[in-house]
Amino acid sequence: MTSAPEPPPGRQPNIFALPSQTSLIFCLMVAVLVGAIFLGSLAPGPVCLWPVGLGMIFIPFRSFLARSGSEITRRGLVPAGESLAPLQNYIHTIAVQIGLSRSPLLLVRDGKLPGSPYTFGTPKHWYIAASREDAAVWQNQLACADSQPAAQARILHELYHFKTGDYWKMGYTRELLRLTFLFTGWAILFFLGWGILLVLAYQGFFELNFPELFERAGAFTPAQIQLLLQFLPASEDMEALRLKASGVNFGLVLNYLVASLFPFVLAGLFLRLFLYPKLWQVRELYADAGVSHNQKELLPFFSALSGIDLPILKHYPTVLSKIIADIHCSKDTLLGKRKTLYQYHTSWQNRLVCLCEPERVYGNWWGTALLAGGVALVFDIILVSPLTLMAVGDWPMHFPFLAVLVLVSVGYLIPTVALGRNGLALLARTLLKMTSVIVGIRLAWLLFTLGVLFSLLFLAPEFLAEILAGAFAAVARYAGQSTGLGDLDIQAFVVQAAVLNLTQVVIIFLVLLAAFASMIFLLSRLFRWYRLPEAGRRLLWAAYGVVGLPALFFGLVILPSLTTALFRPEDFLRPQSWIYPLLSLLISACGLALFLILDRKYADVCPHCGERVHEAYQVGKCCSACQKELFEWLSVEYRW
Amino acid sequence: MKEFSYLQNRENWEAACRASQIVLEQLRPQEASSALIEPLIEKAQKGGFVPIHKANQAGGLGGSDLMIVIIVPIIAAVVDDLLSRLGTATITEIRKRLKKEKELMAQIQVRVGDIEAIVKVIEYPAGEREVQALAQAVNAALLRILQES
Repeated sequence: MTSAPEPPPGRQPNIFALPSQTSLIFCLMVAVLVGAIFLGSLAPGPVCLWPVGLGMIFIPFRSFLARSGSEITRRGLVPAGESLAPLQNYIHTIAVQIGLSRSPLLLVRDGKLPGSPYTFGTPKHWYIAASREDAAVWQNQLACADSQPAAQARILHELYHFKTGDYWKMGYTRELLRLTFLFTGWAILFFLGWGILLVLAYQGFFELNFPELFERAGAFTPAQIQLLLQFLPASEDMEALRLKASGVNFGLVLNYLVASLFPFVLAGLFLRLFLYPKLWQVRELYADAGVSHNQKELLPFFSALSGIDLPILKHYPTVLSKIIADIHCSKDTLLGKRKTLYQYHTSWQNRLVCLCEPERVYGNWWGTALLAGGVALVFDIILVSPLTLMAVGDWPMHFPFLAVLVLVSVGYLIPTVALGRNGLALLARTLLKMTSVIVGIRLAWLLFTLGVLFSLLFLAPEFLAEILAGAFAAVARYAGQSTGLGDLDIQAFVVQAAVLNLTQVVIIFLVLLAAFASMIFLLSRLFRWYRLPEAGRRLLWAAYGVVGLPALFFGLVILPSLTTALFRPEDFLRPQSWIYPLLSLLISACGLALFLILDRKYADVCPHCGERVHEAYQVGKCCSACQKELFEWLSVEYRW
Repeated sequence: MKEFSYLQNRENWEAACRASQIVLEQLRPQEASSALIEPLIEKAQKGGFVPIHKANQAGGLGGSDLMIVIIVPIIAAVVDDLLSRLGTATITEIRKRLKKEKELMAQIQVRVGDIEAIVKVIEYPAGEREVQALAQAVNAALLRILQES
């Protein structure tokens, strides 16, 4: 978001009126993990996995609910009691003031409490945990007029974690990631051990002679032996089993298991290393924003952040603007940036800058493009696992395309267009760069894998044949049964794979560009609907609907048609292949018609005086006729 | 709590600010905001040392990593202690004495042990290397401000 026109003094963009970045990252993490687990468990495979899929979705929720109790026990937290009753009452007052449905309970512990204070809870019980010493300091600060605003800033910050609902999003995500790692780790070790045991012991097991074994044991009478043998397979059955087992390649079984589970580990690592810390950082920025919106100034917040007493800071009235100017001038080192990436809390400089330029919460185009490209790549990798390939293998471009479309439009386009920060031409150029980066990441990965394939083709074709046979076996209906390569021409296969995959990159690039272009047009019109009744509540939902239109058209009309043309051109002759695209086309057309009707009704008219408003919206924009602010809910007033 | 009384003198105050700026530029360039140094010197001058978990209550706002809050009070203490040890009222007097008494330089040097002691008082969990780096930076900064006229 560059070349930002300055809002009027004191008016800042209201990030609570825009899509929540916390919710977006949360949904993304859950969609990647739960979606992959769900798709993997639905696909036909050698093992019935849907109960595991259900478990992976609901067990984290159960763990999240149980975590509050264990946190209280583990940390030795107790209710604050009479001595801290004034602080508890103050928390209650502020909670009511900011519109929380209930007031969190203050829990304390004698001695040090790492991270004090912090919030946790379930939808029914909310808690703020602090060391007794810290709580007593805040209570004293609240009693003193000079330091009261700084203590209030601290309490507001904690309460906004409940107001934004990030406490449960964090809690569920943490448990989901934990369970994913636990389950995949356990599954890899278990199946590995199981496979090795079978490889070592299956020969001996099938050659067991049970009657002889029981007789040698000497512990059974002949009658008992006969009884036991009734429950065991007869020697002919054992022979049949042995013959069947000899057809199973246990190496291929292991190959299947690793290929099935590895993408989940990879996706889990990506989410844990990049998105999970980002979720933490973003939630803090929203809580900071909540403080400034309520206090209407930043100095108490900065006093709380720096520990410098508020009366001292007030001796230096320009301190914050100077610090912010210094921050803008200073250049962070690459090491500093990398360190910040993995920290759960973003740097204090970034927190201050995000309060002065709240749209920075959404990050810049480069960060959004890297994130979207990374997520698309993770989807690409997950969706070619043996578990998911059977379910979605026919539609290789849809999931990455839709993930990128939603991420970029909700996390970048809506805030940028809503705040009128970039001109349309500049926005179009930025989107071209973003699309290039996103598709470039996929292309880089593809070129790497194709490079490996072609190198093997020319240097070690036998080894490549073995790898391909293993891959074919992994996606076969029954794991471990080698289907072989038959009369497959490996060279032709590799060339065809390269052509198909490179064509997909071009298709995704062009379709994404077209989708973004249409979104820019629709959103830029939407954020001129000044006359829309209850716009503060409805416009954001309308924006989601507007994002849905190109997603529907390009994702379910254009992309399926191109996929069919690329992979299965003969399907064009079957009427069934036209039904869904035509239905989606019809819905898209109806949606567009409705949009155009509403656009004529609500766009470019001042809701206060009914005069025409010709210019596009920018934060704090007023009607030139009546001088009243347009979209006043999109801005908020606070000073520094 | 001990007040850093020597810092009430404007000249000494400015010398402490300058030294803090030099140390921050070396150790934490991204935090070297001159605007924040003066309030921190004032806080240190009035309140002496406060354990870090109380001084930087950023924990309450998510545990920000604000090193300037640690470095500036250390510099304030070092400058105050230097003036006290040498029995001089201002930095200018030290500069004048340095021109006559070259051996004074040895007394000006801050030892690693001194920094270690301060770090212990403020309960900042610094490692050995960090304390050494801090002592080196402080000595370099003191040398620079004493050489500046």
